[in-house]
Amino acid sequence: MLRHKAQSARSVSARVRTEPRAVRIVLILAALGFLALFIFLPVVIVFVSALQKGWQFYLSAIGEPDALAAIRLTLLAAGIAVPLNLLFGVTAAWAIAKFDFKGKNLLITLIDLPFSVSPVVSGIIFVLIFGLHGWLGPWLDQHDIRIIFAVPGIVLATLFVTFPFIARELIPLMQAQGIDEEEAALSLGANGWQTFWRITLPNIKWGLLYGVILCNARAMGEFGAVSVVSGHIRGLTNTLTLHVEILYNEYNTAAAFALASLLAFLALVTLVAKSIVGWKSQQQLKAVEQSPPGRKPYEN
Amino acid sequence: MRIEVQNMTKRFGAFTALNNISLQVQTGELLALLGPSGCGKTTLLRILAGLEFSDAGSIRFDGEDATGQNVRARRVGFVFQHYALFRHMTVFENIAFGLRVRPRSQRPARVEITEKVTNLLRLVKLQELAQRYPAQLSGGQRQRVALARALAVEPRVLLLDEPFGALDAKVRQELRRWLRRLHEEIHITTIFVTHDQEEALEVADRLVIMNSGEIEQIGTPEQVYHHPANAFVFHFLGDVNLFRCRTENGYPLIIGHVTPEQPGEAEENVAEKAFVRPHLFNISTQAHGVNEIKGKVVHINPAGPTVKIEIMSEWGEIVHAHISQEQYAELQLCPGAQVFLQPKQMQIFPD
Repeated sequence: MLRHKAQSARSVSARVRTEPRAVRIVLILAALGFLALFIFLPVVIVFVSALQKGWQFYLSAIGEPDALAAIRLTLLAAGIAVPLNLLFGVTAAWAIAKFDFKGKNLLITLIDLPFSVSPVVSGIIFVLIFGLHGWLGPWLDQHDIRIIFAVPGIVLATLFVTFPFIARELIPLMQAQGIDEEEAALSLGANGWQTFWRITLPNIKWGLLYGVILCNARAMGEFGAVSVVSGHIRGLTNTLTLHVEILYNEYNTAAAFALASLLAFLALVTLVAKSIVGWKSQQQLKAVEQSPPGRKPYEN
Repeated sequence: MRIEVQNMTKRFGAFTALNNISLQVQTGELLALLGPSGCGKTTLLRILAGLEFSDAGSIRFDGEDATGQNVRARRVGFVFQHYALFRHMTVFENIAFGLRVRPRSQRPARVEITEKVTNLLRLVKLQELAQRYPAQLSGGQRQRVALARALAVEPRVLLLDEPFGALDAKVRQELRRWLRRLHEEIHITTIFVTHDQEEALEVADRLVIMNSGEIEQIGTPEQVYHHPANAFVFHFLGDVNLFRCRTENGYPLIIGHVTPEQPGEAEENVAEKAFVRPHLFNISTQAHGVNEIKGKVVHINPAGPTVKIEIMSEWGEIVHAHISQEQYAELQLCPGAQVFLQPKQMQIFPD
């Protein structure tokens, strides 16, 4: 199959070479032009606008107490959401790929739910549950627990929106790997814990890392759901994205772009890390595909 | 180790994989579980290993009940069909795994582990490949690593699932002779699953022939080949031609082929089937008399140690016959020639 693919790739490139030179140049320029206009230019503008009032202003905009509070809150939300989703993602993928049980398809559908629901709607769901007039609102109020318009709400919203990233990345990988190696480890006397740490985890590590990177990028960049539950209290419940919006609405463009540049920088770092790890995890999946098919649970 | 299986039943949903199986395996024996795919042989092996659990019945290891024991407690060596080597570990680490995961009190010292793995590598003749990864090995080499890995934990019994299934014909031949020799060397009770009757007959001390969840026959290769218990066993152990026959004066007489329906002929004395192996025919170009099948040669394949001939019989079905090269040269057969086939030996089973 691989050889077949290589051959068809060669024939495609041969056909491309028969196109007139002018056509090729026009096509390449069109593609590059689009890229420049819609991707490169905005990123450049972010950094240029951020620095329009000079380095001094840039640094003081970032060092401003409300901005620092927003950065801290964003890091906190991501710092809680990513590890929890990591734990959940691994458990869910493990259960789905290695065992057969009733309601498995329902679980897979539920994992995808945050992808299909608009973030704003997810935010409103939390307001309806935990808000003052929501289901649990009166009880929470009595016990003086604040979730909506407070940090717990922001963490919950972030958690919900980034829920599928790691599980979605791991399920196909673990399904392709099957349960042969785990069974082999057990038959050699390893216990469940040893089997997980020594066999399962090394086999999924690149896919896992890839999921973590995507999950983290989304957790830090989330706007819609967080905006609904936050209440926009400066220095208390503003995340980085929300703070950028506030500054922009106050016509403080340079400061808004200074903070936005942090998010843009995060995006660039994510992109590089993603392509390196993505390449590695592709290698891992390819290695699985080339080896014989693994045994699926309950297959006879 | 002696293994006793008693009245074992296993179902997967509506499918019955094993139906009330009983079986005894003697210490040091090399036993083959043979049968067509879906007959339950792999399920039986996995239940013996503790990777699957039966719905009813019991297993005893050396007289001790092991029915509810999990795979760790049973101390069996299991070699998977596709080897299931740990892909992120070297050959050395794969083999050492079972020793490294032992509880600290039972774990051998580092030096001991190295020594043991080195000995096993020598046993399976892979000393130079210790630092390779599974992906860098050939199928036969992976198979041997899997075997060494299973042996490292000093299992009480070795279980192999289709050990040569994924290998090409040449390597397979070599490996099964090697397995035979290895077994003579270390003499561990070994059970292997196969669907290849040639492999089972060549390697095993005893065969268990299975069909749709039940045992058809248990015996030595000689017993099952020469004294098959029933039509299934006979059919499964080699190529056969199937005829209808009638008993006349105490002798069976071929009167046609077994076809699904033959109206008006289902009388009391035609209810028998005769099986003839392709190499047990006398072929001649002239009629000799009793119990002969008249036919026309339709195809000849002279490649190989015997010449394989397809003959269209007078009843309109193909009969397969194998004759020696000398006989072929003598008869000077060609497609279209008329021949007479006389069975040298027939096996009769009641329908």
